Amino acid sequence: MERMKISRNTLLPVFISIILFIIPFFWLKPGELDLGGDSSRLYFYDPVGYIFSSTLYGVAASGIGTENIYYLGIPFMLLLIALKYLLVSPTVLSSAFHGLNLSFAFFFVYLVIRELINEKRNNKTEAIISVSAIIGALFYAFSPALIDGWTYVLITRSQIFLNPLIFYLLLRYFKTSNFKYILVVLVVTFIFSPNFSIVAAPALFAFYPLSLLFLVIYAKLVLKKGIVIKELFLGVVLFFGLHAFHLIPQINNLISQGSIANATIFSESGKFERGLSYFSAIAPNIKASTNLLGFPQMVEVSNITSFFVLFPLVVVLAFILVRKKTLLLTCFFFLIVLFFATANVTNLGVLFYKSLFNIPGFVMFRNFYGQWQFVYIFFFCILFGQALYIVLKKKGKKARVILVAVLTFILVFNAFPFIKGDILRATLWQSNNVKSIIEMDTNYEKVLRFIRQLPSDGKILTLPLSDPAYQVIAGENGGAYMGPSTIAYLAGKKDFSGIEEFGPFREILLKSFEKKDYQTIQNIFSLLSIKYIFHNSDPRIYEKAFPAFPYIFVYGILPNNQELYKDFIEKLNYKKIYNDKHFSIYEVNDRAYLPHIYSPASVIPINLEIENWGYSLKEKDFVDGRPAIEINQSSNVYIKPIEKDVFRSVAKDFPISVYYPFARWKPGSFFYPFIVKRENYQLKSFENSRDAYIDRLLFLASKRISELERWRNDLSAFKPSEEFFTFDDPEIWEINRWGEYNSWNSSIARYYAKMTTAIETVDNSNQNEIWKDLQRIKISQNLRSHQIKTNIIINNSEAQNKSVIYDAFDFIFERLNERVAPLEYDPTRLEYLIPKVTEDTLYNFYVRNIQGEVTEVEINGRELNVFDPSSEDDWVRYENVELGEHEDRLDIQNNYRDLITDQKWRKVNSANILSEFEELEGEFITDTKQLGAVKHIPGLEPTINYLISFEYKTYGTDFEMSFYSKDTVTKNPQVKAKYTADFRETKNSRDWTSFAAVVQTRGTEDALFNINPADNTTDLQKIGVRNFSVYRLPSHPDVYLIQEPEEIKTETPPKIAFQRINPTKYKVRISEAYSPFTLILKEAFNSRWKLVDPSQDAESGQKPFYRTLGSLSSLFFGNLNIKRELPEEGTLEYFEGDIVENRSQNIFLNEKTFETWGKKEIAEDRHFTINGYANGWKLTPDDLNGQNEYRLILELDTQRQFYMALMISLFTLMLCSIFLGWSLLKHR
Amino acid sequence: MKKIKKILNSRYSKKIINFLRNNKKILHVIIGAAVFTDIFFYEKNSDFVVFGILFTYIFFVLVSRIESKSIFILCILLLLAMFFGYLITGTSVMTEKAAVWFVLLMGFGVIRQWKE
Repeated sequence: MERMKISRNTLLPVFISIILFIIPFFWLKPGELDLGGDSSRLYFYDPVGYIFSSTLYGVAASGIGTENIYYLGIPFMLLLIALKYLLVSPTVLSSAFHGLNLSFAFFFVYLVIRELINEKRNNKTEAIISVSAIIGALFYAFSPALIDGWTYVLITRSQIFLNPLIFYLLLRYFKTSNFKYILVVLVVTFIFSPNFSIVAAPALFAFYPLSLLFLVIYAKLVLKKGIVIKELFLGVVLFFGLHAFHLIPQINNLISQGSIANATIFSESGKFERGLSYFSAIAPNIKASTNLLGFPQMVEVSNITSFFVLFPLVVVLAFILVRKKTLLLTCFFFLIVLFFATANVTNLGVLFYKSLFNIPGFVMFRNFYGQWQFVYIFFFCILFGQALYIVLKKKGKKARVILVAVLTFILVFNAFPFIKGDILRATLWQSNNVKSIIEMDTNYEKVLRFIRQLPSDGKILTLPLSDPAYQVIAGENGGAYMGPSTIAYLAGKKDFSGIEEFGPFREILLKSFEKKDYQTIQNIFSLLSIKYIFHNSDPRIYEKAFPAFPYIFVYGILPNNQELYKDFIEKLNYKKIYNDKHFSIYEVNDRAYLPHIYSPASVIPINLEIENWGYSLKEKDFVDGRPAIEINQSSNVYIKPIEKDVFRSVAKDFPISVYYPFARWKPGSFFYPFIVKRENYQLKSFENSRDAYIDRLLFLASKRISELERWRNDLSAFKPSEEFFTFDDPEIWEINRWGEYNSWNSSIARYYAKMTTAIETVDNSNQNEIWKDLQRIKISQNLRSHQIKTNIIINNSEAQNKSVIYDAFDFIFERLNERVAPLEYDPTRLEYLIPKVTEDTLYNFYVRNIQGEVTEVEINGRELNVFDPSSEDDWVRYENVELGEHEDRLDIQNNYRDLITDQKWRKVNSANILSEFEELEGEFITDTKQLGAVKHIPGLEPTINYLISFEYKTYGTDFEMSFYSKDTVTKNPQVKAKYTADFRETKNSRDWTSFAAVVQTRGTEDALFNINPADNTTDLQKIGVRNFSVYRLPSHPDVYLIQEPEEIKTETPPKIAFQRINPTKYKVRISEAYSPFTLILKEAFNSRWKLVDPSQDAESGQKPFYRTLGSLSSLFFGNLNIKRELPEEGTLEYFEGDIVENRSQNIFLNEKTFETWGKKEIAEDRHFTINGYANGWKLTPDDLNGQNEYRLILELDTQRQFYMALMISLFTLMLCSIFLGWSLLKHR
Repeated sequence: MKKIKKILNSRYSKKIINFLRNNKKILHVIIGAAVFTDIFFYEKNSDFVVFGILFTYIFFVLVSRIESKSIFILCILLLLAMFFGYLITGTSVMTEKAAVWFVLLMGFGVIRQWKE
């Protein structure tokens, strides 16, 4: 780097940089931290804990142990560890990094602008250059678009200064051809490796390709310098070498078929479902004007925003005043980046942008406006800086001072809240005014220390559970941390802090929580290796403080206050082992715990998915049998009848929307026959999908109604005849018949034809009855809607024979309704379909009868008797049932009552629908002064489905029917709960018509059903209502059929002693292994988990290479002992000493790290999924040369790969350091 | 290319080109008016209109040998239109149209100046 002359002009930017570095130290009080968010920033709080818990190993820190390649943070964490050792306080450390980001961002943009203003310098121009560069750099540091991102700073946020820093170094390289700049770039990228990893891929690919292209063109066209390709190539090679430690494992994961990363990038569904659809949804909201003003998108801004127009104005002025190649080149790239950051530059631009999603990997830019923001603002600022120099140079002194003052004022004034630190003190989303700045509770720090020292590798359940696996911790200053679990990321213990972390057990757990089935919950916890429960009973992290996010979903299923959580824990088999203030830790009874590594004594084969394992997990002595569950889809051991829950399926979409397409072409017009042909042709293309075909038929039927609505006064008169509802479409050449389309007759007939075809398609389909019922409900809903609409159309038309047309429509609707055979629903009766089996087999039959709700069980109309009437078990066994090659129907009768038998209709005479003054019964009359009638529906429970049914007759007038409930579940204190309509429909009928709706309430207060006239201008309105009832829809009780006799494989498990070395390595000692057995590791199944015999060398050709490499590695690195200090003594025993667990360790590197390299992997072809998610190996004595006592290592192969890649990186780092040192010495 | 040159060198073409060059300012104003009409009075976003005016303008600039300075002056007017639009109506259709025109003409101006 050229030595900068120390002058007034140099001191000023240095001084400003120092000020910017110091500013963040005033944002936080001593002890305060801005943690939380997706990146958590816990690494500032405890970098040692963080690195040992999550960064050093390729397995997720929490949950069921899926693979998670996150080595990229290692150098950055090491830097943090070193700095924390010097600075001690995490507050100071965090502030220092904020200061670094801000001051370096400013300083290096300043330097870039100076370099690009490539002019002869004298005192005057030097001052102008300096001022222009300072304003340009301030624009970058205080850019409104970039300021916005300082809340919840992500680990990749350092790009704010890294981009200009590296750009500057590369610019210096292209100017001076001095390779040392490349070396400095490489070292910087190594230290800040998260910004150069796959995690930061969008930012990386947004900035560097374009910047490099800019610099190459700049060097060629402006500097007219050659480019040494060899040096650049060497730089790239060194880059990959340096970053091998995280790139190699990540790329390997990326190209592995079936991995999530692979699916996201390469699959069609990944491209469209996660990329293009997201882009299409947000693109219309992104504004070019907002980007031109340098403001964040989709954020409310003040009026001062508009004055930022001065910045692009200065840019344009510069182009008018002078012609400069650098300025043109910068502007060209600025416009390219503007397009990428905006997309909305003409419709053609948007289309072009969408086409880019066909490029593999472009899906990473789905959130384009955020991902291109940094590079856009960077190019904007360097363009502005150069332009400002040109403008200032042409102006007089007075004008210069005014312009600089105005620009500085705009920037500083707008950034003042940021300078004060207000941006950081955001309120946590959807919380009750809880701030995100936290002063860590010292009692909680003790808890983390205690957890870290727990001897077992068993996992922890963190309560209260959240929706997205976030943990909330209240601080001593009233703020709170909300982010990834501190237990996982600091204490080094895997935990479950959110519903989403239970993986395949999510659904069955939710069901068990809902039913308060504590035994099943306990057994699931044992399968998931949950040995401890941590309960934070602080009211400041639940209930009123956080009435919504992150607990929106769990409030409806789990205890919704801390006291209830205590009761919840008591009902599980856990005893308290720690208590301090709000924090309690419980440990499971050893008899209810399956160790992290074990060998089962019994293997239960199941042919059902995990969500249907309820029966197998019901037993109190489940763990005693030391079981394992193996999924075997080909067997018929278990049969789970299919719940016929048509109404619950419909309820989600109720009321079913009937869409009336716009009718563009008039029936009978010139183009109309071609439209009909096209419709028929398109309809044919849907024939392969029954659902889509029926939807299309309904769509076309609705279109006939739309045509009637639009051209009702132009249609020729209706001609009554016997077969008025049949019509043959004229062929294209039958021009004389084209006019026949333009009539009521053809419209009615064609409508009738489409609906009939839809009904016949359902009736003749070979789908099951549940599907048919769903389709019939859909058709029925369409018919109702069409009927109402046609009544209105006829009424409003100028047709002379309206009554005849009414009769015609009534006739066809009656015929159609008869053919649809509307569902007769008895809410007290629950139906199931028992699937067929391949041959006649006898099954044991069980029904879960909680609280005696089940009164009668029938199969194909025959009532079943209880096997043992004296049994008090929830699971009631009925007489055995023989199944065969046919489906069977199962009916269960339940006890339920109508909720509103005592409720009367009440008139409503004001806007407040709660006011009532007179009771009514049966048919009643309303007049224009009243707003209808309302009926209270008491005794409702939230998230439960209810069936509302009644019959009505509106005498041809439109009436609105609405269902109101109050949202009392989410308890959002900012919004006073009030009645809101869950649905509202307009009904019109001249005969008694039945109505049925399934609703789900959001609260526990009374709901209301309201009927009111749709139009208050008519003098007299009359409606009849009868047989109004509300039934709670019962949940289908669990039913299982299990083949007799029940098959359970038994094994003779050996004695096992195991110890966790680190999350990717376990030592296992087996003894008394006299027969084949299954070994289970309770981490998420991954084919890269290997079982290695360290006493035997591998046989294949490559292995000698790994053996040699392992030996060399042990030689060089074996003396290192990198580990988390944990007690080493202590063992835990299970199953009367058959399984022994030695104290868990966390050793990253020692002399034994490479002991498995080049050693034999055993039972690779017998590695399978067991317990629904875990790793199982079937071992035989032959695998170990007939031995019955031996030592094995369980290791995740990804970690071995990482060690090899790490060596490459360290070697490259050494090379770079030598090059750099030699280069500096040579320069001197 | 030869055919295009032949057409441009024909008598009629020369007449048109001379007319354009002799009435640069007026035609510039007309095209500017077309742009502002699209911004302020035409509510829909039509690529036909935008690219129609843009390509006409490009043709006009190339044939009349108009300097890039004029294009940038038009850009300043567009920027001011965007400013007032933003001030009064926020990020409305009008403001966005002004911004899009600014970007398109800025790009054209940059390319034109590079050629110069």
